[in-house]
Amino acid sequence: MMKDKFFFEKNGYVIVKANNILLEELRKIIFSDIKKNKKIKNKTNDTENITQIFNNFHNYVNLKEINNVRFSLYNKINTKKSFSEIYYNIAKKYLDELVGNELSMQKKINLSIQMPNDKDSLLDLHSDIYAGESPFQVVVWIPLVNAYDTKSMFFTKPKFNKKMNEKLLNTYNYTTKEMYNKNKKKFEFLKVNYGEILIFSPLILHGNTMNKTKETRFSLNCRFKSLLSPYDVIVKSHRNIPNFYKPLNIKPMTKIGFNYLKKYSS
Amino acid sequence: MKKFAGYINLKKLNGVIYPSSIQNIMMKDFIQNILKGKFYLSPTEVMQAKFPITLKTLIGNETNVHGIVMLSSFYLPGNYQIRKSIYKNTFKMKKSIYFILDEMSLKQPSDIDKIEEFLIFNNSFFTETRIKLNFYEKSFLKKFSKISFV
Repeated sequence: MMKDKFFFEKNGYVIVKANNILLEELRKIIFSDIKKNKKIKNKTNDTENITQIFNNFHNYVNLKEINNVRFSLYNKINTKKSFSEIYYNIAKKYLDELVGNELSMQKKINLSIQMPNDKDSLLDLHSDIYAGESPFQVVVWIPLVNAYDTKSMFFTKPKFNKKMNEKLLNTYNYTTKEMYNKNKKKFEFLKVNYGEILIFSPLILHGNTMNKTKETRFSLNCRFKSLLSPYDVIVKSHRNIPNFYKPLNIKPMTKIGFNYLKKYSS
Repeated sequence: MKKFAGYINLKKLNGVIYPSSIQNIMMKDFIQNILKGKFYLSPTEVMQAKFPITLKTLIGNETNVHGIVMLSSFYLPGNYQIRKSIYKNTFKMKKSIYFILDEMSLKQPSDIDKIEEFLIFNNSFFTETRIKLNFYEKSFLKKFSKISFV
């Protein structure tokens, strides 16, 4: 665990082993919805079969339908309270170490489905901090199949992040696409297998390109931060409670302390 | 079909002003799709008033609805005594209040504690934008300056 912490502090991300029982449970929830929705028959719920269907999802859905399918799944997973509880518990032991045990959690868990050759589901080079997210948060990214090469995400190599960030914030001449294309060597596609999770800082530049592999990527992402760390930093945004985050657990001393403040501060 | 009223409030919700048209859309969607009810009306709170007269009217017996929907409990009055009377009258009139973004509701007395607990996050500790570090924080962080990425 200490090794993971040092790696994170040095690189801004870490790939760790997930709680596999819970991860499988999470994946089965999505799979059952897909099975029902796409009328996939005679398929069992065993790990190998689910992996195969996720990887070959482009054979069941065409590019025109994909966003509606994704949106319908997104709505379904986000109405199940148990889904967010499982999600948290998959990464809990690392969150305890990297962030803390009194947390707030992003209210909606995001779902990405990256089918081969889909030009419309791209997320250009960015860091989450550009959209007003807190530098105190981490992103927990969970692939539901093996992610590698262009089926995965690209990340800046740590020693280039500072410079790239400065360039991107101050350039007048380049688009984010051009910035990526001109600096491809400064990025690497992370290999994250099913059973592993990627935890990263919102300060790290990342993005994706067209998936040129023959498999579809299913992945989930959600943000966590210490409940008592700052939400809006430098600029005011909506990345706060109740607009973006929900308190995940409130410790007794936080309640006692703030209720004292509430009583005597006005 | 049960009728629900929306309640528009134009004060900042942790820094965000939701235009009334957006509040209307969100409340209508919530009432029709989540509560499976009928969207009745959504008056706006009087910004200049000392007490929440619009909310009181919606809770009162002259407004014939089963419940009230608003974006957040942060739109409840800041004064605890006034909130207490809102809670009391809601139960007296056999109505309920739903808070969309908080994913909470006021249906029974035990919900009051949950709402009051949630209102902790309307404290400036959570809502103020952090712009700089103080002297102590700066000197404390010196030894961690390498862990930065930007």
